[in-house]
Amino acid sequence: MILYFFYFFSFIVILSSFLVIFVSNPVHSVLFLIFTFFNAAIIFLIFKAEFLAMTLLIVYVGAVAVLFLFVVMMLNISESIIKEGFLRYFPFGLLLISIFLIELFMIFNSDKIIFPESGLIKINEIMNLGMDNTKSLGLFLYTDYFIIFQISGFLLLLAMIGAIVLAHSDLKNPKSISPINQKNVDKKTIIKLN
Amino acid sequence: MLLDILIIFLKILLIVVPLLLFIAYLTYFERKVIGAIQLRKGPNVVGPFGLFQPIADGIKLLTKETIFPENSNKLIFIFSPILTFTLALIGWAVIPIDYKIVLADINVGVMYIFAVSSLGVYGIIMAGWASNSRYAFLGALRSAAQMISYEVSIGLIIISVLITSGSLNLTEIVMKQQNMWYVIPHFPMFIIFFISTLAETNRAPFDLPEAESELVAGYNVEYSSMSFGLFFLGEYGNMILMSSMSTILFLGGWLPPVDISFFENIPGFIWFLLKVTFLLFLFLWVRATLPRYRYDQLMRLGWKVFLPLSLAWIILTSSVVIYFQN
Repeated sequence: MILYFFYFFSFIVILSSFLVIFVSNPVHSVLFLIFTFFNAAIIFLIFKAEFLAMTLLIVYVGAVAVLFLFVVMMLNISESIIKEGFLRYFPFGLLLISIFLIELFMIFNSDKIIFPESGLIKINEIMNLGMDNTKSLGLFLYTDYFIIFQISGFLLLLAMIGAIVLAHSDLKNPKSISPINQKNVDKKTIIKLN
Repeated sequence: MLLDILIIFLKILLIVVPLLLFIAYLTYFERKVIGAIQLRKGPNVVGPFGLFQPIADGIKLLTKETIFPENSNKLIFIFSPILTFTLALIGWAVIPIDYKIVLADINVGVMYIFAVSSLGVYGIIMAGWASNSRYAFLGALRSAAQMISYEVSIGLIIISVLITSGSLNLTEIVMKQQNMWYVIPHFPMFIIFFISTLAETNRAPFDLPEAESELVAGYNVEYSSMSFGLFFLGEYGNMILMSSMSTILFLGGWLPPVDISFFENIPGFIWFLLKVTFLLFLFLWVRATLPRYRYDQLMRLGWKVFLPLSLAWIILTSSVVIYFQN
């Protein structure tokens, strides 16, 4: 029963991710991307990884994809421009796809996924305790993978600082008004009688 | 198997039908409360004390003509009010209204509700885009930016509650509040959470997506009859969902305020209902009292005031929790 559900939802994931590329309207393709995320979350749920499923929904669907949709709607890209770029970017996309495929094959062909020495012990412990996956994920992230976790957080921070620097390029002539200046407006200086 | 499905279906009906009634009478409650605040009578013609007014409104909306704008994207135009209304209903699957009276007592209940409420923005942004109208589109863009900004502070506040309770399960969070409701240690966060829920549900004073003085009606300007009705019901359903969320996180869910045997005898769901109604009254009170925020003030409040405050509160909470654990 569960297996059929898995086949059903993974079929939808593959179908809708193809539609992301082949649909002509950019807004529709973003909506199909969101649909893909949604079904990927359901596949996580099927594997009883409810924490990952909810994180996928909150982070990708609830925040990232909204901003993506926001930008695509604002830009109002015409459909012909998108079709023009297809052949130009196709070799680059092919390169990326082949790298990902090779990585996937390497993972599946390796004998076992390598855990740190203490990690293996913890997996058995957690299996015995019957802990829910939120707790076990936390135990792993903040012990064995602590440094990697921190580094990825730092990368995100860097990206955020970069975005702020890019957006604040015109600091010499800011359009925003400080609320303190607004509050301190005096009627004697503002209103002039001629 | 078939029996299980039937039982779950009945349970869903048991949640959804009273919820729809509650939504209908919330609109009546709103008009009465705002009428009283503005020294008017409010609806008093249809039925005794105007009690049948919501039903009359519903029939009016149902029998009106559904209009589709000519250049609109029909499929998305129809889909977005359905999405808004559905999202307002499915959050109730994990809300415990009494001890063990909940449809699905899942481990990640808090995250589920947070996910559902963060999906709510799609109904609005899709409606605004599909209408192919300037006003609707501007309303949708405002709403998307506003809801995302305030979700950040809502998420951080939820994290500080989770650190104190140590569980993502809603029933367990309520049971941890038996000695002290979280509104007492987390009082500043309760206020920020309430203000953020006002922004998240697009209610006054943050109802900029539908600011009638600038955008006519915002994202739902092209909608008529029941498609408008679904947006309307969805907004009120979201108000109730967010109120019950703050009841569970801060006001102790179905627990009575003090341990007196008289209070213990009152069933839990009545306490739950009372607390939710109190929070909803606050929603209406705010609407009748405060003027609308300007858009840059709204963004400033979200990013420059609430975000640093709630981040600092997380650090404070986790330090206190670690200090008392050792």
